[in-house]
Amino acid sequence: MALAQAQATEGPRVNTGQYISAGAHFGLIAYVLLGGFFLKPNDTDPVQTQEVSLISESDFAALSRVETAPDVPTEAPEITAPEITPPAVDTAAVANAAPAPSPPEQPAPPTASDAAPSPTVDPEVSTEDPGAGLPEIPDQRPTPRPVPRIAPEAVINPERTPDIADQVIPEVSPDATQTATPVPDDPAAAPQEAVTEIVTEAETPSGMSTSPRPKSRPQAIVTQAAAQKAQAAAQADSQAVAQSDAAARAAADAASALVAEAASNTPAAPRRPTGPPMSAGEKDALRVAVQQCWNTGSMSTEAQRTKVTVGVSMNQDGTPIVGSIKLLGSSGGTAASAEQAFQTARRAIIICGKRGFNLPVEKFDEWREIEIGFDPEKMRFK
Amino acid sequence: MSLSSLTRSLFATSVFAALALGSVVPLAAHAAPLKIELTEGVIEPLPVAVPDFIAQTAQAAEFAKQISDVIAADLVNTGLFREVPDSAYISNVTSFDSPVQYADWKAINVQGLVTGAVSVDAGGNLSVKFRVFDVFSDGPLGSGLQFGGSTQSWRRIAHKVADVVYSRITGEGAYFDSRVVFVSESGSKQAREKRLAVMDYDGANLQYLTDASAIVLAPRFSPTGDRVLYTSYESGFPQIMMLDVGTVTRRRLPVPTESMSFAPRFSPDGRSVVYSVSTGANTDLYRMDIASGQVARLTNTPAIETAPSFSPDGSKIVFESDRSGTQQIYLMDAAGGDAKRISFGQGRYGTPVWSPRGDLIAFTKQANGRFHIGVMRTDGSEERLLTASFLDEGPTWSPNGRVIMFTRETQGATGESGLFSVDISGRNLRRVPTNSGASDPAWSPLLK
Repeated sequence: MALAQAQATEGPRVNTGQYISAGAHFGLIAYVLLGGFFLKPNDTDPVQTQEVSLISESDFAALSRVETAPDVPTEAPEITAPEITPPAVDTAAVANAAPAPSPPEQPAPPTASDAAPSPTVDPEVSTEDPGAGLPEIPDQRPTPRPVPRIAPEAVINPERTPDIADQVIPEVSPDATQTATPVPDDPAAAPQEAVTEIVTEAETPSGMSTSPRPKSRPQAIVTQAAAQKAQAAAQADSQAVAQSDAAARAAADAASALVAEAASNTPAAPRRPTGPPMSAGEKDALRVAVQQCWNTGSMSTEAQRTKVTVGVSMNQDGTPIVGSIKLLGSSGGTAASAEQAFQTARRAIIICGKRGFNLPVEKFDEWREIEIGFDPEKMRFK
Repeated sequence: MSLSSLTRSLFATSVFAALALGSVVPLAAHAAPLKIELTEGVIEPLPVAVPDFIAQTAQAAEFAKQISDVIAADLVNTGLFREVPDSAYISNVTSFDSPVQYADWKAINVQGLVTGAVSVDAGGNLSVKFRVFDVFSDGPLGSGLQFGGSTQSWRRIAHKVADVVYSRITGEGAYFDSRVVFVSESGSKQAREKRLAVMDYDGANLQYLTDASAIVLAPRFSPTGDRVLYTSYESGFPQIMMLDVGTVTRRRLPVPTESMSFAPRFSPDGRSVVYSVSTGANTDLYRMDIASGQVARLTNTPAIETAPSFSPDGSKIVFESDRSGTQQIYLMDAAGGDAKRISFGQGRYGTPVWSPRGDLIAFTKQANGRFHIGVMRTDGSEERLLTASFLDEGPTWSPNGRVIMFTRETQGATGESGLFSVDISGRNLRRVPTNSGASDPAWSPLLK
């Protein structure tokens, strides 16, 4: 009975719930379907946008570094230090850093100190040789860059100068050589580089045949290498005989290679850039240019039967070296007629070449020496 | 330590050897020279400057400029030179010994420079010294020279200076100091008077050698220039006469008077004369020894053979003959005998003259109604016609064999004949100035 009553009492409760549920659902559906008409959403406020640009980390770091530089002065030099100092002269640099910072600050003009070390570095690298020093030039070039950068900073923040000076000073290794112990390490490194360069140039005599103007380089290199070797050998005598023997042998091998190279008349390295051989058009242009001044009208009839071959050395600007014009050979006439034909040809070369023949500079080696055959046969009865 | 010293010595020796060899053969690695061949050039007059010679004495003032002008004219008349006017000069020559400013002359493209000085002493002797410079060689062209003579011979001196300049620059022989004998003509064609005249090669210093009483033809200089052979109609018959230029006296060659003799020419040694003798319808060549009068017959054919000319060495004679049916050029030994025909072109060939250099033969050619002066090699090859006109004939060689003078007659009743010259290249055709009509030129050798 109680269950029945309960069920009886629960019956209307269920219906009520169902009604409520149904009503709620109906209301929801009605709202979804019809709500748009009665309930218009308000216009949303426009979203304000702002354009931004992407920057790299390095740029950001740079910006933040500048901003933070005064706050954290020690971070900036730490970033630049590893980039600028490729040589692993860590200990020596640090050791040298100690004496260096104080002197440049006191005299105030850091430029004087910069000028002083540079000449000491130059003779080692041999700036006279344009080609031989190429791999080492990049090492030199960066050195002046940090100096101007460092100088203003050092003035602004005296606290940072010692850090930056650490980087500059290790490059001025000769100063350290004067002091004491680190000396043997630095010169030992320089000769090795020189030796490798000399060896490579001497070892490639056959390959140098494609670039025929390397004479001056090997000589300069040999002399510099020899000087460096001599220094190395002298130092090695005081330290270790084995090391000096190796360096001396390397120098001797290089020198002997150059001797063999010179004896075989094969070029060791290009002195100037060489290009492809003269094209037919370029030769024709030269021929036309010369023949415009080859005046056979005043030649004797005997000379007009004489063919002469004239040699001339050229300047790089296309002008002939007047003193080099010479008669190489003749045929078909007497000595007098050959001389007369030569003088006519000589005048043609000088007159038309006084402003320089239009020759490709990059092929200078092709026309450095020119032999011109003057055959007046067709001009005799023209 | 011994090993160390050994290595050091090895090193030092090697370096020294490398440096030494490097200095000895620095250019051994040069590329092969660029080679080009020129077969075409230009033919233009060479620019020369002949500043007025310096008058070193007061009497020389009137000659200094005249001599300079003659020298310049001689050079320009060759067609090989062009005179740069003095208005273009940058630097003036104020002293004979002053250094030449080559840069100034180069700037105006002068290639040959002639400087000189003239002086006249108290005795009236003219002295001319000069130098020739190759401007683009920055130096003199040969050493300086000096000519002297009377003031009346200033023109000859100027020609001699020009000869030296011409020879030094071109390499050719000289020819300015020479004379030309020719037939001076006056009057109409129907009643034309002819007489022998002689003049400088450029038309100056004209002198008459004969009067107009008899027709004269084909004068020829002797190798020394002191005598002239010509054909005269004094007797009504053409006869060969020989005239002494210095004394202007003449005599008849001992040729039989019953035959017509003409077209005489001296042998290179001047001792004999070769000429034509016409008997009836036949004309043959003869050679006469002047001293003895001995005559030798050189040809014996029924054809007309005339206009003989010796080779420079006297071993050959070139002449014209119609033995083949048309007038052609033949070659034979100086002693006569078989003749070889050397002209084979179309038309008729005549009046062959051997070049003084011996390499060419000049001739007159008639073809297609026109006359030409031409040259060919002695074997008949490389025939080239230098002129063409209504009537060109009678070539004569300059002493250096570079220029040919000939007669050109214009067409029509009023036409007249004149003398022209042309370079053997066919260029520089010029009329030789004469004060009247002229024909039959004969160039003298270079005067001594």
